[in-house]
Amino acid sequence: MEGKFEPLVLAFCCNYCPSCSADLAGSAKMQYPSNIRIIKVPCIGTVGTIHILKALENGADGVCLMGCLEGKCEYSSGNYRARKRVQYVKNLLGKLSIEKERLEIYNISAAEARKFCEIAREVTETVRSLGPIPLKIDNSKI
Amino acid sequence: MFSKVGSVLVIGGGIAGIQACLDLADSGYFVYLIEKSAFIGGKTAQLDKTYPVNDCPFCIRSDMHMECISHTNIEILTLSEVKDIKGSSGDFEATIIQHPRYVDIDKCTNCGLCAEKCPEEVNSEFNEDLGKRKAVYIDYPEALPSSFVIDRKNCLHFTEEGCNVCKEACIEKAIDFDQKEQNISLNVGSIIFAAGFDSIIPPYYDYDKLPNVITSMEFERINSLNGPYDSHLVRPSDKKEPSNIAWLQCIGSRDIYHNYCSSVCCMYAIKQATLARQSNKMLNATIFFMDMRVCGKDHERYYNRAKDEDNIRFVRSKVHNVFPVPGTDDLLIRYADEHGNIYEEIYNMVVLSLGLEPSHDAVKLARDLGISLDKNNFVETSSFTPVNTSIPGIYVCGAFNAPKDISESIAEASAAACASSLNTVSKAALHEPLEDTGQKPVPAGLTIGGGVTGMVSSLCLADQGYKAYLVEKTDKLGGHALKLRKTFKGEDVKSYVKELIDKVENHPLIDVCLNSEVKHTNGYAGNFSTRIAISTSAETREINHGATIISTGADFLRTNEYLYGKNPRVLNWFHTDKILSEEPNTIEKANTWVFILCVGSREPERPYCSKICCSNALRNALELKKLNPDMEIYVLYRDMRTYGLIEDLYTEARDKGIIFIRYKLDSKPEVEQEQDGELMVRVQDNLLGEDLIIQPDFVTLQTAIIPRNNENLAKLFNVPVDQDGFLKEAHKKFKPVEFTAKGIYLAGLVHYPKPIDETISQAQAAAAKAVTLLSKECISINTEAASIDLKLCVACLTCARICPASALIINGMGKPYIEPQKCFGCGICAVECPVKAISLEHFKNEPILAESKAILVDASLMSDRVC
Repeated sequence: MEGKFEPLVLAFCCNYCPSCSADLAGSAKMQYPSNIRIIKVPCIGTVGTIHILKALENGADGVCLMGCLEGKCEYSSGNYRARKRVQYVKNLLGKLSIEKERLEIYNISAAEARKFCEIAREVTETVRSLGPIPLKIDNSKI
Repeated sequence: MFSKVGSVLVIGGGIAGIQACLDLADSGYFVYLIEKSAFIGGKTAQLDKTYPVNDCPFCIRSDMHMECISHTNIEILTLSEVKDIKGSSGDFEATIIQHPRYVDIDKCTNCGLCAEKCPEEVNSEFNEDLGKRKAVYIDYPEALPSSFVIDRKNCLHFTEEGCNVCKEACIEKAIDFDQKEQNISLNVGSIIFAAGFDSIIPPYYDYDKLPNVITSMEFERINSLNGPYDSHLVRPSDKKEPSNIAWLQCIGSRDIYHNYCSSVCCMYAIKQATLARQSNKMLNATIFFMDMRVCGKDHERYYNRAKDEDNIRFVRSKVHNVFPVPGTDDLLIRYADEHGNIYEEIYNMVVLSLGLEPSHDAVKLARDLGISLDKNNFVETSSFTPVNTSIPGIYVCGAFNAPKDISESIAEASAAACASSLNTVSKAALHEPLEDTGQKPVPAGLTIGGGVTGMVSSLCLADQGYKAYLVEKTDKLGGHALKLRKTFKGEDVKSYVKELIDKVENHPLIDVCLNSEVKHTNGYAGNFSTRIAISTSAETREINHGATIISTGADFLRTNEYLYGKNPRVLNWFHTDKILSEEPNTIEKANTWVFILCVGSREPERPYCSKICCSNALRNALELKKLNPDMEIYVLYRDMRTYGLIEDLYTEARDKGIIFIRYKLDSKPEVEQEQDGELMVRVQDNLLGEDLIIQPDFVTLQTAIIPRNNENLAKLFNVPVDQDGFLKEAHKKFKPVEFTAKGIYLAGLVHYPKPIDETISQAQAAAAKAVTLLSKECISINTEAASIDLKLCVACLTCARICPASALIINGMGKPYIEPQKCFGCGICAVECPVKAISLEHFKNEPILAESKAILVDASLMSDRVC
């Protein structure tokens, strides 16, 4: 099967600012790559190590977390916790010889629909340059 | 499909108009929103950040815009003007002209190709002419409705015939030059004017000649994220970062042409200076002002912080002139300080804090319709009906009523929504879709506090057909208003309150519970159950209600300064009111009267302004002067805060010969009792630099408004108290009468000191919010709280340590317990719990993992990826 590699990136979006900016991007008819698939979570601090690792295991080429701006978390510190957790998982990935760049966390405000689109493009391109994730199980064969 | 008879017309798509639309639409009314420009949002959309929170306003604003655009009960007509309105309350016939957009909103995908290709570039109004836009444009990418618009005045297709570049560029074929002007006729039950303000074009300081003399709105754009200079704070002439900026206050306010204060300029100048200092730590920011009028909630704190922590320089002065400095783009400011000394200083940039004028187009329309306007062209309203115009069925809100800030505009918009809905014939058939319970809200509201606020909100609820319970602690209704004589506009408060009490007591749907106090409450939005204890009998009463309004008011300070309570001729504000109405002889005999302002307010221990003292003192001083023209009256003040239209009183008082002496916090006036029992006031006159000795017959102290003991009430209803002891609303700017807890609203002095007109509009606003809840077909229950499986819990207490809501407590068994009312369901404990003993009802691990897997497996099956 020969074709162009289209990466698949799972984005965990906090229900507050980042989801709002994604909605705004939608209502302003802005475009961002369809490689990004969004899962809304109550707060970015609720995304656990298990969620990130399972996503990669299940075939995501990259995972990104989007939280509110620092200091603006609706639940005061969820986005700081998420940042620490991302660092922890990055170290785990390093031990598994998986590129750390496949995982990233961003802070974004509700107004920044443009930034949301830029991040989506940036993440897609980063992951595209890294190629498919080596963990991939070929689902078509299951 | 549904009956539109009795729908509401809202004129003006700014923040006030949008809020009014949302409240009406949420209560089930159909609304038409008429906006003059191509996009909704108004002036608020141009602002960078909002005071006093300095947060990004877009989060809430864009939510409101989006809700407004997508609401099934709202029809938005952009590029539209009202040409004429005929008919009367309940049955108006409005003629609207809608100008062509030349772009099909439904087809336009906002891709921007048309603007990219358009050859004609003009100044962007949205960026206050600092940036450029094309003849086909969108204000900012997120602007709604999300479609470009062609500006006929500049489009080459119309000006030079035949340019079709954009039309050819458009992939969606959305551009249509054949669109024609449309006349639309609407039948509506009531009309809300939310036309807002226009900025004054500054006639002085060579604004039109000097590029670095800019207006406050231009500064707002320069400093904005989506501004013309990519949010770099640079000056227009050479795009260099300024190292010092001057703000000049009261431009186009408090002058001979505008005898009113624009209310918002002091605060926005402080905000701009603070933000400018944040982006450039080395910046010298100076504000040249006359009086610092920061009277809203938390405004005084904001001012103190700017002064003491941000090192912003405040100069009490009057600026004569701004001159260019030859050879540079800098500006020389010549100003006179309080003592009349002339100084000169050089600045890189000068910002003129422009005042607000009522929207010019709307003034014309209002005149044509015969709506009474005051001498400044703001709509004339009574303090008791702050949103009613002189024509029944036509209401007003926002800055078109009087200069005011966003939070007051929003409260007024909700009030106008409430008032106008009483006038409309029928509701639209559309309602909210069925939510998770299917249970109807209890059609009743409980109002706590029987002052003017509580009575007004109860009446609003009852007039809309809901049962209203009014709980009052004392044995009579009326509260502090019973002691008040007149409003700042001179209306008689006593007769108003009497009439109000009469209406409330005789309304069939209002149940007044006197001598009663709330003892216990539980339940959720739409279905509360509250127990009330009646002090005169040992009975308790159980009340079932859908919404709660807290309007328990505030108290006044009983000071121990200035011989208060020790000398019978040292009075408080309401004693003066009483003498004025009952003891004309005393007034006739009095030769000298002294008013001392800011007694207990704006001090380290109480760092807020009580807002109503200045106007109350001036109103009483003028009355005294009228009854006894020979009386010498002294007003000892710190800043004369006669904001908005109250400025009139200040002008009149000075005209009538009332003497104003400014004192400083560190040299307060002294009141002494001489041996013969006479009073003596010693005050340092700032201008003369000497002590002045006054021997008054009476001294009136304008003592601070202080919060009641709100702690218990707050605990009972689980609502927050702010640092001054007043109740804390959900958002200072955009949600002034709501709490984060749903179904509970606040109004009046329990929120912050405010005059009677603002109190009434807040009361109506709170009622409007309650109605949006009570009118719902069904209610949703908060199922967000997390729960702990104690079988799994190892009591490591990680959850208790990290919970941002402090909802986790350790019970007697040494195990954690989650208080469901406190938990706001963020799920942080669930993910941190090492043994996964905590779960969140709507955010369990398994569904999220399943969702993630499903998305990924689906996507990889569908795609043609190399594996």
